[in-house]
Amino acid sequence: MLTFQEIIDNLYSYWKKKGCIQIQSYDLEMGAATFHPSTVLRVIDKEPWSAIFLQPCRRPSDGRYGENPNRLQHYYQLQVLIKPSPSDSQAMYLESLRSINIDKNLNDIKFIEDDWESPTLGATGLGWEVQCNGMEISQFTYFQQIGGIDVNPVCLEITYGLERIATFVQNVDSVYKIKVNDSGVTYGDLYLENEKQMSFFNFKLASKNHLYNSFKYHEESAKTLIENKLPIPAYEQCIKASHSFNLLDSRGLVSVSERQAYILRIRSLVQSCCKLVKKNV
Amino acid sequence: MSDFILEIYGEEIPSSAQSLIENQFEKLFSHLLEDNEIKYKDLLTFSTSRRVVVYVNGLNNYINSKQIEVRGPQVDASQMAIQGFLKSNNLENINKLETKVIKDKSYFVLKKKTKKQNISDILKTETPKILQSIKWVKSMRWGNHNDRWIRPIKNILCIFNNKLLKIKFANLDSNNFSFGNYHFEERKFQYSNYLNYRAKLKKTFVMLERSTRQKHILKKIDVFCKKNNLKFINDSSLLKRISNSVEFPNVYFGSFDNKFFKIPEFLLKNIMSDKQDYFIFEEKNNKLSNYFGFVSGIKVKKHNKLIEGNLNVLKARFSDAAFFINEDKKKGLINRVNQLKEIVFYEQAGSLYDRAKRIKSVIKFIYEKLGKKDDQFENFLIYANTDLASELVKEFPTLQGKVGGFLANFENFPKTVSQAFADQYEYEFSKSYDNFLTFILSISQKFDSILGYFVTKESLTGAGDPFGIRRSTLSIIKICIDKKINLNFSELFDFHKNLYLVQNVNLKIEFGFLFDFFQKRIVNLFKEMGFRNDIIIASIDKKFNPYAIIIRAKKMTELYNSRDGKNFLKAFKRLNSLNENVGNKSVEVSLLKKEEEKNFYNLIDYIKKNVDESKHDFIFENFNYLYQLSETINNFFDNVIVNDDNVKIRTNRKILVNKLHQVLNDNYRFSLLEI
Repeated sequence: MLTFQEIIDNLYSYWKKKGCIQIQSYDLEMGAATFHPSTVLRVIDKEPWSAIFLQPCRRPSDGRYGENPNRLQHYYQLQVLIKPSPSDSQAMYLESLRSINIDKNLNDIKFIEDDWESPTLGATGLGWEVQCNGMEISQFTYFQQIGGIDVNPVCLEITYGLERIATFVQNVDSVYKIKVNDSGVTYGDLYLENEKQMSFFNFKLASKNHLYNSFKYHEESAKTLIENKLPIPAYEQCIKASHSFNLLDSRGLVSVSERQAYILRIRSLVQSCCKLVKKNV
Repeated sequence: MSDFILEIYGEEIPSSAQSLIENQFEKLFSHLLEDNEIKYKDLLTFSTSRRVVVYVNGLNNYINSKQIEVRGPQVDASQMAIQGFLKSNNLENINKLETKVIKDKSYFVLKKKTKKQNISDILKTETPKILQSIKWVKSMRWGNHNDRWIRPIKNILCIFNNKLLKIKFANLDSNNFSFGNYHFEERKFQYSNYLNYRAKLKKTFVMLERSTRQKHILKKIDVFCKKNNLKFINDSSLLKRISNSVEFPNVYFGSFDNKFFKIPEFLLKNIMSDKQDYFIFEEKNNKLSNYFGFVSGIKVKKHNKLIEGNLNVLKARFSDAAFFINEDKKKGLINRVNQLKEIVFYEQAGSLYDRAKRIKSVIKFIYEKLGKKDDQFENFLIYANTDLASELVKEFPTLQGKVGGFLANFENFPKTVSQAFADQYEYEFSKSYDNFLTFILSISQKFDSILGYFVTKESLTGAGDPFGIRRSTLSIIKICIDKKINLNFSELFDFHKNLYLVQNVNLKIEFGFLFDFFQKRIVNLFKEMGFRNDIIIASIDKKFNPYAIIIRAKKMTELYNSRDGKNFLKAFKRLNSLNENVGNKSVEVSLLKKEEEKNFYNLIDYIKKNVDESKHDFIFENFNYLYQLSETINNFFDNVIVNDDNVKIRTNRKILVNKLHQVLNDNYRFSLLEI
């Protein structure tokens, strides 16, 4: 049986053989690996790009105090990017599953329509949510637009939900039972307490005033940096603003219409960053 | 005879796109063939999760040459036009042209023989154009080219007369081979002929026809239900979606632990059918069963792992739902109502709390108008949409209402109230459904949504209905009609508009605008019900009371179809044709000379007396009176000359005609009928 870290190793190994360069995790809180600058700022130019990286992700409102078997506010995504998208994308993906002991002939791998979009990033893509025996294990997306700019050539993004994949591969019914290594350390040993405490912070204790202020601060900083034509640090501020917004959301402080307004504010900044990057290329 | 086949094989095609592409293939290829006068026998289309196919048989190989006549410019047209025509037909001068008179005008015509054309050449040129012209709701690019399709294409099979027809699309050259079901090794096979193609697909586990896949699924379900004494809850859209998700459906069944029945049924059902695309069943006692069914593209002997995997997902989803239920139960509706103050309803239309207050007042208003009492539940009405602040609705937005009903029940609200909360968003109610509060709540909240939408917008354009405004309007009308709710919408509008005003929201629209908006819906609805357009229009009055309107339309139809009614309408037509606007003048009785005009005059008073507010439908209630009415009108016109030489008498008779016209038309709008 593959451990959590072996699953990661095998996927790295598979995709590196396919020519992907291994990038490291980004050191900021983000809701999805797509936010990584190696995705957003790299896919909008015409240059070929093949990369793989592991990214810790945070979605504060998905916290369940450690009580739900597969819903977490902090988890890991493994992301693969290939531009232009190869003609045998699906076959490559299915082969990668075989490297982690998921055989398409023994398991029900379904590609379910999913018109992916990230309103915050002004990004859209077409593809599928990939399910294995009914459980979502990956997102498979052909990027069409990022930051409001057409992605051309089209970039393929595959995102592996590592915890869910591991529960499947190890045949356990909770992410906390996942064996991380051969010495018996479980995912729960490493992260259960984190989930409990962070859920309290996300839902009950994150400071309302601080979050409003930090959102404004990051927004202002991004604007200044954009004016100074520094899209990379400006984009970092967008990631930070987005996380402040996610926390405001999990604290239940964002109404439906305000929610849209916040998203649009971040999106317009991300668009400016992307335009600057595109111009510099 | 030859045949043509085009198969676009690729990555998973979303269910909704499959019918779309099939319809467009059928339309575009049949136009192509018909425009080129190419005869064919059948044009068939198919789609699965991985391929779309169009097949045409009964084709000739050639279009034979034939004599045709090309019409050119008129003989006296400008030189430029004539030269242009010559050039486009590769002619140097007009010697080869003839002239022909068409509709009194003389034209140049060119008689020529068309070339014998290979049908394969036409298909070869036109097929890529068809592929490019598909109108998708959404489409995509992939790789390094700019052609668009619903998802990436892997192979194009294009064959005419059993031979490869070379076309190019999306960076791919067409081939004379295809692939079997990729769950079974995606075996490549050569195309030899159509029958063989179908046989090979069958052998490689591809059911090309959707109906075959659906029948296969239903058959498996039927066997399962019989064995386990269950009733299948058939959802045709789910069945279609599922049968479109595979090339060969393998049906599996599982069951979840009974402990999850602590979660309300509506939530279990939603998770299984909407979120997981599972088939669900009922026990014989109509209770939800813990069995579920699902379809997979693969066939495995040891299916425990497959079922277990699906079950684990279900357990996690149920557990998530249980988490939300607990959170919501802890907080409750009563404690959550203040949260509505922080949620904006529509921009500039206040918060959801403001909306809740309005809805409560409107319900009270309607109850009073209908002479009913609402004392027992008045205090609960403010919580009607509090579930919008709940965790469950945030996670399952389509369950708004149902969640409110569930939580209201949990907090021991009266049954009438919790049921009304749960069902308020329904668009129609069955005959047997009889919770009156549900109808009034449903009307009130939908009316509020419609008005709220128009706070910042002055019209609703486009064919779509993103906020469900059109659908809500139709629903309100239907509820009033089906449940016999006698409500004047003009009064409801005035009251509701005032509620907005009290909250400092100024509605930009007037009732006239809303009247037109509602009228369009009612006209369409009534037409569907079989009413004549003129009768519908004549039945709608300014008060706009849908229930009264339908009663009037029915009576008007009855009158229109009866012998006395027909005679009366003929008499009315005479009245209508001589009617003039005479202003606000009275009839001078002393000037009435003839017996017929005195009788005519008495008619006005008699009808006026009867057609007051309470006996508005006097004429409809007294069909036997129509005969007398028609007689009196006809006798008047037969024996009295309106345009008398004496000005005074003439004017008085015109007033007479106008007065009767007024009393009839103001109340019944007969002038709008096509007589």
